[in-house]
Amino acid sequence: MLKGPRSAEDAWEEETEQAAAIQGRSPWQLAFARLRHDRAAMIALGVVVAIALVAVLAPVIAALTGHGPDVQYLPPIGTTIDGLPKAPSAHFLFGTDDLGRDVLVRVAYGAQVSLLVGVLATLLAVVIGALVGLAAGYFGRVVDTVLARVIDVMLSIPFLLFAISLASVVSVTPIHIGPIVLQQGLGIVVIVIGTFSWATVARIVRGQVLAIREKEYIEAARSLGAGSWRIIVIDVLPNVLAPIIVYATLLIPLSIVAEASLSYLGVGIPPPTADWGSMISEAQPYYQEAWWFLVFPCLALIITTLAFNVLGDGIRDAFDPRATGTRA
Amino acid sequence: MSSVSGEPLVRVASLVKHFPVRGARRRRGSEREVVHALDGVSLEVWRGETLGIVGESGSGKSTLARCMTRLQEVTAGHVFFDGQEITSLSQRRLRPLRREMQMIFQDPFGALNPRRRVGSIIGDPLAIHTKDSGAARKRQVQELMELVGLNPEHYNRFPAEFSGGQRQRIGVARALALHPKLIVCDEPVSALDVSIQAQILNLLVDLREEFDLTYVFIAHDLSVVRHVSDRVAVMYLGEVVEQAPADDLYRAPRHPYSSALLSAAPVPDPDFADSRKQIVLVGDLPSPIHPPAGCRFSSRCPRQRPRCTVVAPMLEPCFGDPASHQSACYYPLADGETLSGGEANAHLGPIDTEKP
Repeated sequence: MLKGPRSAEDAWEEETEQAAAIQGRSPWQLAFARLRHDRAAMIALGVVVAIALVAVLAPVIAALTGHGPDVQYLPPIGTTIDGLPKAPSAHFLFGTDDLGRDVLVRVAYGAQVSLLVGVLATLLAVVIGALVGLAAGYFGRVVDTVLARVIDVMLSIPFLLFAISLASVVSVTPIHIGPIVLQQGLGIVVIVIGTFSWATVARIVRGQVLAIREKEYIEAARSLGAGSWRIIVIDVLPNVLAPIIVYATLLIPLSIVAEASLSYLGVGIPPPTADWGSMISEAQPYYQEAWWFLVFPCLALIITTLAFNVLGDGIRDAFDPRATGTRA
Repeated sequence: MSSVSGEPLVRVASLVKHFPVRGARRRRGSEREVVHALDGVSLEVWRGETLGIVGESGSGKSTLARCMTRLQEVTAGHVFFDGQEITSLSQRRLRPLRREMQMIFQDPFGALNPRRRVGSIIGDPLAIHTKDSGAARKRQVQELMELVGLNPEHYNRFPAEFSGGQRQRIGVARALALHPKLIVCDEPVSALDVSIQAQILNLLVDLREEFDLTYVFIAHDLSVVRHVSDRVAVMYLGEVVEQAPADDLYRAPRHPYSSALLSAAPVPDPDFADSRKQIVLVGDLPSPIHPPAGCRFSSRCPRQRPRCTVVAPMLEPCFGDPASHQSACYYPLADGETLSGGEANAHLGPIDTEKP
């Protein structure tokens, strides 16, 4: 395979030690190069980065406006005399909510919860799912039979019903599992969402591993005397990493929506923590009088999930250029 | 050509490998159906020789290779490597032996992990079996690359950046890394262009001289096997039907199947090819789930007689051949005799004139 002259962009690929050696481009580098040329994905990545910045800089936004996320401003500053939220103004850019809190600041803080839960729950799901999928696919036989059934069972449990009942039980009394104490809040939401998401990851990974296991290079590794552990880590895992990453990117918005749903139903992040789901829930009675109270958290949720989804699609196309019918 | 002495490097004794048929409905009281991939294969591989194994697809060549190196568990029988029985060894006890026997695979695209750099692939056996540092390993890998005719500077490239022939050289370098005693080549050139085949074959022959290697060379192309082999074993439906020194086999095949196989090999000279009689076997390879009774070739053999379908013939010398030339046939071909066209149709009605 011939390569054109190196552009400045490619310079980072050079390992300084081996500047003289001829350096092949790894499938990863090729995928990133393709991703860089995907305009929609790059815009989505920009949006994701912007949202992450908003989440990280939420305290700065609070400081700039001078409004804390949980500070309630009394009427007539925070609400009207009748106790209704106040419309956006120079003072409150996104208006206020029914308790006289700054919607802008609360949306910014809500990004913290959404991203944290989205990323952590996805991470949990990916780790469990990858382990289960690798074990089921690689070892096969009894291991596979048992794990495949567990996956089927997990996928057949209705998420929302189960999550609501679990989260509501936990909200009354903290659950003690050995040294772990489950209290309502971020941790339990992450665990609940992660527990219900890994089965799909496991199924994807298992399918990939089943195909890879039959490849001749796996047999070659065994003929060299490599143990199962070495084969899984060195020869199998790198080949399933691409689908894992693609699915993880698409799982983040799903987890964010799941978290918002739980909070909307009052079994997610408990008040007064700022959260998009609970904000939407709180705004509902006022949507006729105070559109800003409902619209801004909704917009934040939609933009975030859309950006992650577009980015996920871009990453999938980058890893599998043939799927789009275009040649890279 | 080679120094044949002492005990064989590999001795395969009555090797049986059956694969259970997946999804086959199991009738009550009946035994589970199995594919008879290998049925009682016995052969020796002597130190320093190249044993060619030929046969059409489905004859069990690759299964034999995989059982010989214990990439697959055997159903019954034994494999002795360097005097040691290996079919019952634990994976742990087997590991040191893996250093001594390596494989070269058929598909140069499938046998290399596309996500790893070739230096890392070739260095794999070193990483598994030695405690060498990264720098020492890299030096060894680059020596190996040079040895098999690759540019050592391509150490950091990926398999996708190499041609089929180059990839097969990578496979050869990997197999050679630990200086094994035995290399099992499973159709190492059948996926390559003809022009590239010769390069790889010559490389393998050169390396054998240089490193005192023993090869088991599996192929379905008889001209390829003839080029590299000292001895050849012909397989049909999971059994060895004839084995002989390569020259003897090509000069005077005894088993009708060997003869048919030889006549099917393409001849580079078209004038000669026209004059030559080609024997076309009737029918397909019988199902390995229900192999024919008696001689397995009897269902397609032009010389088939009633006796053939009763008891399978033994593998033994015939017509006063030396012990090295054995075939399993009641009605072997004499020197110079060929399966004639007339006889090729004889399977329609067995002739009774020729009694054993």
